[in-house]
Amino acid sequence: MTGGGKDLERLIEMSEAATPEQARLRDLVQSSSGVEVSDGAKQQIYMKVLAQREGRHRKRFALLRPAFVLGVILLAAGATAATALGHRWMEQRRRPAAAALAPAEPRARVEAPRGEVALAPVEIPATAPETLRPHTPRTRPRSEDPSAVVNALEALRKQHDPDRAAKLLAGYLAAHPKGALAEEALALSIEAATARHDPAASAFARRYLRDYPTGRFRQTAQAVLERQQSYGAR
Amino acid sequence: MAVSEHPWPVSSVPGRERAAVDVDVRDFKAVYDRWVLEVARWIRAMGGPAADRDDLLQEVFVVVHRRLPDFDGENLPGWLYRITAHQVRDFRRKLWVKHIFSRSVPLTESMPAPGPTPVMSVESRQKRDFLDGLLSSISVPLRTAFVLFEIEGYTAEEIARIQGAPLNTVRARILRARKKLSALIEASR
Repeated sequence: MTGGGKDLERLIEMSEAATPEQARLRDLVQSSSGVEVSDGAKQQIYMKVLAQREGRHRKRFALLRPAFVLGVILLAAGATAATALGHRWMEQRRRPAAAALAPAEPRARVEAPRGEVALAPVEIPATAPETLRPHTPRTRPRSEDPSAVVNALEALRKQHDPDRAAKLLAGYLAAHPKGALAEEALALSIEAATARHDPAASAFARRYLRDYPTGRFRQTAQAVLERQQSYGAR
Repeated sequence: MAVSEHPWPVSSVPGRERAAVDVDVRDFKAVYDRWVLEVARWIRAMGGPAADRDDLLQEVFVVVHRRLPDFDGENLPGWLYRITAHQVRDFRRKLWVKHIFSRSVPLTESMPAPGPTPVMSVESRQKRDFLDGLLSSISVPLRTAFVLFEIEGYTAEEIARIQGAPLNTVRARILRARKKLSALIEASR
């Protein structure tokens, strides 16, 4: 068997082609060489992969830094609270003994307000700075999926459904504000908003001109803004 | 040491042999060294543009590097193939969107390849371009099976294993691809 099946032979191993077209196909296959990757290219790609991963690791550590600071603060606060409570407890243990030795002492002093001395639990206000807030677990950065933009394009141009397109594009732009297709997504958002007679079209246009001042769709964005200004002037 | 449990058979096609070497699947460098060429072949078979092959290889192995600690060690070629297929599909989609907008980015893989083009004879280059044009006219499953079997020297079993498809399906795809390509050649005359 050649090539994985008793009845399946490779074209280049056939002694005779069945048809002139098959002979031509065999000739084409014979002239087509297999893929090769040079050692230099291999090494270069390997270094790029490691460099890219290193960059992502650094970003991840940068994200973990606030959590580390928060952990240290909580530990310090816990240790302080534990020390204060320990002192208070020791004092209270000592006082009854002292009262027994000196009965003339007023009782009220021995029964000092116990409830008031308890330390309030450490709470972090909602308005605390970022570093003090509990660290919410962040999801691992996922590789970019362009399906949303592709589907939005189809929804807009083929299915004439600008509502769906707008939702898909909003999702993509929220997930990948600097994505490979962010410029196209923003341009499509202008188109979708215009189709829906949504005033957000001008906001998208302004955002486009701000993010891509020399972009390919700047004329479209400018036209949308001009149209809006002319409506406003009427 | 976690070793890939599926040894890779050696191709019978002269000049297109592949060493049957098991690698430690926890060792990224070993996986990279052993599989980078195979992944490059799959990218070509799937229709990834030759001019962007290195970028695609990089994307594939960035994903491999990230996911390798979670890989269960079962069928390393199949696992790599699926990652490659996803990356090539995403890349083609991005390219398609760019193409729709700019109309300047060629979608087919007939872009000039960084290779020995100056020394390549005009005739063989024309043949290669012609074959690439034909291949871009058939579906990706047919194209992949055909290129891996006929050009890259894979066996049908190897293709079935990496694609996770039944052997008979792979054989049928190769035969259908031949038929369609022959019909296209006939039509082009």
